[in-house]
Amino acid sequence: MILDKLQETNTVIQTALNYKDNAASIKEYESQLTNLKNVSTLLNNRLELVEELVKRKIAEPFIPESTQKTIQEAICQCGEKTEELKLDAAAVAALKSASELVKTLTDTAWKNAADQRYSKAIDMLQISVFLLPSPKESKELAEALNDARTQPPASISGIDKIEEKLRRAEKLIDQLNVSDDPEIVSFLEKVKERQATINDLSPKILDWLKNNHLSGRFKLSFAAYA
Amino acid sequence: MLKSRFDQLPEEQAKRAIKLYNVLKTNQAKEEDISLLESYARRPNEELSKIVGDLETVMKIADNMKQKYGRGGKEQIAVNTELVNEVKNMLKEQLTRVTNLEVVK
Repeated sequence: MILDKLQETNTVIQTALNYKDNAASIKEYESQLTNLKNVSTLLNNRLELVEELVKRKIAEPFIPESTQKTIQEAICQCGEKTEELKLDAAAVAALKSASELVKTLTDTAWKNAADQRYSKAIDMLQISVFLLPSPKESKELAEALNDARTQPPASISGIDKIEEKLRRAEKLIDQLNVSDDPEIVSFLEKVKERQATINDLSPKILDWLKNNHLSGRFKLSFAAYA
Repeated sequence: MLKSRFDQLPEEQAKRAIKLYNVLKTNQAKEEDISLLESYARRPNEELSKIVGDLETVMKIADNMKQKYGRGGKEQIAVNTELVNEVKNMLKEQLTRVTNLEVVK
């Protein structure tokens, strides 16, 4: 009688524990599934950004083939484990790490591209801010473009915003008709540094000032230097 | 209190019950009255009844657990198929996106 009772108890306990384990593993699976969804959404945004940077020719393709393979493997592993209801933290972590790799590569590509893309506009805005119709706006644009060099956009709308600022800056600079002339640029740099002398007022510079109605925007300050 | 009573592993409880059962069986086979009295004085019978009582309590708990987590139980969790499908589709699209990426060879 005792042995029967023991056997019966063991069976009931075992069945109950199995049910409980199943419930716990489903809970764990769903928790990992939610993590995977979040990681996946973030990776998707990052991939969109990569595509957009290349599509707009802001950057040349910069994801190495080996990284592409790593991401593909991580996605496949997550897909298989999701299918088998065996998704675990390790698979999600592998995809997360692939996503971080994409971010690091994108950040580097962005910084290199933005340095080249925005430097000229930033420099021109800085040296000619006193000549532009809206110095306040010019200053803000220069700051925004400068910040963008070190802070990559997090989304496509981020790229849109900064590119719009670049277009606006270029429009303002165009009004000066500098046309990338190194002599004019050098003159403006000297003026900004308060280093311009009468010698810098070459016929070309004087013509440029007259033609763009800028003569009245300059004041001469006389001082003799040894 | 119940927890401390069932802290032992089921195998240990089983071994203990079988041991007590054997003690009873052996002693009942003895003919000497004095030995019988001696063995019953150690009260294996009461102990066994207590164990049987405990086992019934364990069974009740296990039965409750089975009902709670088992098919149709209130704690039973079905896999959220909507979430599973959503994630599967996301991964599928993502794989296509990654495969179509322009890469540096």
